[in-house]
Amino acid sequence: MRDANSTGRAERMSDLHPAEPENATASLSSDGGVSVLTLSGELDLATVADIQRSVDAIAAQAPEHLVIDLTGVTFMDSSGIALLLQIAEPRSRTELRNPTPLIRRVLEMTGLTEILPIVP
Amino acid sequence: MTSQRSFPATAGSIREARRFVLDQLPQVADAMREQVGLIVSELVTNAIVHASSSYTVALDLEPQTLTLEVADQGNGLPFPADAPPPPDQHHGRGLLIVTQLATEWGVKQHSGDPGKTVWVKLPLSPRGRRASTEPSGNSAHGISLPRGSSPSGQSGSESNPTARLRLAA
Repeated sequence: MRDANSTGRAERMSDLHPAEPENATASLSSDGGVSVLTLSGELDLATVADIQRSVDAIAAQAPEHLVIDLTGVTFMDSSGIALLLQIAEPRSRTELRNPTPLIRRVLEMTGLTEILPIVP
Repeated sequence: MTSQRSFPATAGSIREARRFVLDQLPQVADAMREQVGLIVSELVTNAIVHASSSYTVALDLEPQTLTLEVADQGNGLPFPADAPPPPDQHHGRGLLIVTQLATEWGVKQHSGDPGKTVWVKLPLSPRGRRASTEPSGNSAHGISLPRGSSPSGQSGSESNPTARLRLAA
């Protein structure tokens, strides 16, 4: 399990070397009794496919209430949104933490802030 | 300034296409760069998923406006949904996002050979000026829904890809 707090967005960006494309990652942790799925990297068609299996495995064992931490997600397009919806669909409550302003805006414009509410 | 590059029909090329465009926009504010990257990603993902096609990304950078073009070999024409799809529909939001972020976009069918070019226009905010996070365009600002959706929308008899891309702008 990775320490989500050690990989802030700015830090990851500055660590990024052009010759080493940033891969997406997914990990599960517990924060004060709440299960947190931490995603990181750039989420597009390719990287969502890369992490699909591990996200499926995490989602299968995670409880009904899940927080998805997006602090380390530097980019997300509609393929990433599809992944979030797939995680949220079978759950009673799925919340997002710390999306970029643009990701937040995209969720608003696509009418998804009810099924994927953003929490502090 | 106009430049273009072709990419294979692989998911891994999506990030490369974003990089190609953003590398040419060093003077553009970060918030706008993020939007441009998102639009590029949505357009080229459509080329790969719906057209199963290699594609060419072109950009034309003017002082106030960026024009992006993605040409592929698919014949299907893109139409955004009238309203956001329901949450149980996981896909189908890409063009909705493009419509919300762009000033104007449209599509032009190629003539003489298969394929189409989707073009998008965006206002540019230079680095250092506050970049708006408000929608830069909506239906009240003359969004151009897909053109060329009927045979009458086809351009002339251009067969040179470069010229065709320029026409599409």
